Amino acid sequence: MNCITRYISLLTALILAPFQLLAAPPIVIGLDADMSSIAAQGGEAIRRGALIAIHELNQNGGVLGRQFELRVKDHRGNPARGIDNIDDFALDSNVVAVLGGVHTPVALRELSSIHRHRIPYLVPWAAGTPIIDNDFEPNFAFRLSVRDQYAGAFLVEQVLKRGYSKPALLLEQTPWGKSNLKAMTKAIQANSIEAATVEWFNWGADDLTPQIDSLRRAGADVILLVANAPEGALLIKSLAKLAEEQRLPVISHWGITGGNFPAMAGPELDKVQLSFLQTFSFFNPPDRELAGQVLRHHCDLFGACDAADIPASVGLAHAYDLVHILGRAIELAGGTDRALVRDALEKVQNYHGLTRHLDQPFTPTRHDALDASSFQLGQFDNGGTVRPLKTSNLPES
Amino acid sequence: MLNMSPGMPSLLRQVAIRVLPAAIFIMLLIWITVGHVSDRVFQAEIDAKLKQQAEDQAIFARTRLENLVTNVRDIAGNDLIVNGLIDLDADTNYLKPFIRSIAIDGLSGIPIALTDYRGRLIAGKQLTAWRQSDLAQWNEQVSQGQPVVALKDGALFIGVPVYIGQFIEGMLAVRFLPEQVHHLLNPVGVNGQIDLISIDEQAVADGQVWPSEAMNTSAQVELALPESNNLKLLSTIRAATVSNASLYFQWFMLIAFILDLVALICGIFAAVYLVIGPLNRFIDQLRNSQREKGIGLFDVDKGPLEIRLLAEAFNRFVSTEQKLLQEQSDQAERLKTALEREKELNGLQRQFVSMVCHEFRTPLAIIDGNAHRLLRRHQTMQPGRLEEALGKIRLSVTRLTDLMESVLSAARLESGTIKFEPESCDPAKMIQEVVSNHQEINPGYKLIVDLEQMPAHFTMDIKLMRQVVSNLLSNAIKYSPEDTHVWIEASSTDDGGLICSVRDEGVGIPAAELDRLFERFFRASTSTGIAGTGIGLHMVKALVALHCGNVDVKSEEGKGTTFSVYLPCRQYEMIESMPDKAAAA
Repeated sequence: MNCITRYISLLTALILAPFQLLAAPPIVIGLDADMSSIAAQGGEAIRRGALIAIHELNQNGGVLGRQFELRVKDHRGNPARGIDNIDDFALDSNVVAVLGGVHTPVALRELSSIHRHRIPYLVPWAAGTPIIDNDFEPNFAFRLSVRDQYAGAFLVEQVLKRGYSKPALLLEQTPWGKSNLKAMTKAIQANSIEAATVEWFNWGADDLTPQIDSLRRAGADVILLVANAPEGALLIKSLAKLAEEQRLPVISHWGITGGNFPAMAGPELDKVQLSFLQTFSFFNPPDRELAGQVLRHHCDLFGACDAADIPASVGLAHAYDLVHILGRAIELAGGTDRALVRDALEKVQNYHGLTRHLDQPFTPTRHDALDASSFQLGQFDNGGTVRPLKTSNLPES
Repeated sequence: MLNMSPGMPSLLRQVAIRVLPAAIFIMLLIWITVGHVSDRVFQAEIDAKLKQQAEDQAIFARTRLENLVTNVRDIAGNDLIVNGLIDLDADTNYLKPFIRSIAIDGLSGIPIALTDYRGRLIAGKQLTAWRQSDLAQWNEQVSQGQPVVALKDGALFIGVPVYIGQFIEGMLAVRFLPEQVHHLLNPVGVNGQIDLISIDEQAVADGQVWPSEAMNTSAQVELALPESNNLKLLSTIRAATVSNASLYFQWFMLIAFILDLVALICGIFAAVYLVIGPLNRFIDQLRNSQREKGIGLFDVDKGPLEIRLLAEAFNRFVSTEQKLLQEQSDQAERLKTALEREKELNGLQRQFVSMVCHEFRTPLAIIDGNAHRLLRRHQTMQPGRLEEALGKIRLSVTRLTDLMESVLSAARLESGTIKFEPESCDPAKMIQEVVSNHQEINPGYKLIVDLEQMPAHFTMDIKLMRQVVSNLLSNAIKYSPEDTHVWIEASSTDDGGLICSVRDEGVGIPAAELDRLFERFFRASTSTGIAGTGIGLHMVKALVALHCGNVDVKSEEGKGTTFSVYLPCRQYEMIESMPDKAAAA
């Protein structure tokens, strides 16, 4: 910003300042998500969902006479940036809560800052169980998203349901991967099956052939994948190179949908059986009317009017619901005091959301709004759109 | 083997004194010049090779360093991103297992810091005490995507960007110890040493990374690392191990110098044996010859051709010189003789002039005296006295006339104007007339004539012969005391010639002076006190020589002299008088 522009802005602010003093300050919701890195698509979905909810709230006069405003920061998947973003948001007294984004490791690292600043942290997309099951008291973290504890059991259940008996775990070497290892292992043991093997990979891996060879040598009949879009796409491409009978089916966590996975995987996507965890789809929403409304608002605000044009819809739905729940909590709190809002979040009841109807999203002992009943498998269609996986589409083992 | 003449040692010494130092000086000059030139010529090559080797080694070291950096980047990219930035368990030791795998030729780096996107230390603070400013500075560069390669206390630090997705979200710094750095940059077999030097002057001043002064290097190449703006690779190469070209050449020159010296010494001995020896003998012979014979020729029939040719040329030179000297000597002698003769002639001429003047003076005095007496006393003088006086006057006139005739004749003879006109005449008659004339004026003398054997006719120049007879008769009378006899005899000879002799009983002529009697102006020592010009006999000889005759003289001092004139019978041609040749004959 050059000097002239700065002076004009300052002058304008000075001129308008008196007017602003007359108006109630907005209720700022901070968004700290991966907006540009490997899960940028998920971050954008979260942003849109939040904006749609804010739009609706503001259209209804806001809450307590105050309009909502979304302020976005990009942590790029870097916990250090996430921490700094939380610190910046916390310094702004207008920020009532922070909406988180992908990834679990970032969320985990932000917990200290969140609880130091005592600012409510709403998680629409980070499944790591410890995010919510932390040691902080009072707990300022609230999640309307997948909880790995449930996801692991769900995915193992899907393995069994589809007749696989020897899943191999292919996990990213992150806290998220470790979280899922714990959950999946527990579920596998609970179902009296045995994992063929567990293989790890790092972010930025450029070759998963050794892991695939290991999985095949171990006799796996299905791959349980916990990865983000880049590594997931790499797996697909690596499997596609194998002979058809050697390509193992993949049942994945939802991480691969946070990025532009179809584009990353390319045409090889059609060569591999891939299904993944989802919690919402515009193609089979629990409330079609609400879904339609949201879709219309999406169309109004962002120009994309077809459900097929909305990638990472789970993020959108979760963020939408969390913002509305926050609005209810602020109203209950009678103000934007963060601590009071936190307490009010636990008291919100009877929320009919886009994701699902929630009798009480959060309680003092439960800060995860969703459970396995909200889970479903999805798949990519030929156009790269996420659609619910039809049961009939599932291959028999 | 070597014929050493007495002068040989001094000659050798001369050669040694003059030649050897010059030769040694020249060889040294050549050695120095060539050495200098070779240094210049080869120094450029050495420098180029040194520089090339230094550059190659620096490039090699940089490649190894780049590989190390790449290794660190790979580690950071693959193993560390997730575990370092995403999953930090607050256990700083977790870095070590990953960084241990950073290996290049067995090197093992020590992770020292993991920073976030703002350069804040995430992990590693317990591993080393780092200046935050260093990390912040490195982070700034790493955030641009460029690794950092830095030196601190001799240790190498590599900072690489840590990516999350496509974004640089942190930095991993790894340290390699100084000995590891040395091993990294200087594998076995490298001639020289490669050091990392820091542009940071403090690091240089610390002396931690500066090459050892004992390296004695002659080539250094600084190779900046492109990934870092604060480090350079300094490659130093030992000059002795790069190229031996100059050394070989200098060894060659040294050997060549020694060989040249040996060749020089052999050459000197060869020169002494082949040249100087014969030359020395030549010189000795010359000296001996000079000592014994003066400048003389000598024989050289041995020795080298050059010496023989030299001797022959010398001989010719000497001969020519001798001839010239002899000619000069002869000419000098002739000049000396001529000079002496000229002096003598001048003396004689002066004497002649003096004598002529005296001769003229006496009769003139007599004439004058008698004339004066007659003038004073003619009236009282007795007739006999008058006749006497007149007779004396007349006699003096005759004497003057004869004297003038003699002088004129001498002059004509000297100038070559005497005409020789021989004709047939009566010689007896001529002689009789001359005798009569002289008898008349010299009555005190007894003139005896014997002309019985005279031919009636004889071809001769009567005028000149009259003068001859007159001179001889005049001398006979003059140099004889009065009242003595003078015999005049003439007769024909068997070959048809004529001989005439005039004998007196006069003072005679010393035998030693007879040979000079006919020289112009010469007067015998016995003529002292007697008037005479000294030209009469010279005239006699010349005039007789015109007739191809000769004059002979016999004399005995104190007793008398006999002059004999011989005229051959000839038919004469007209010959102009040549008095010098006639006198010389």
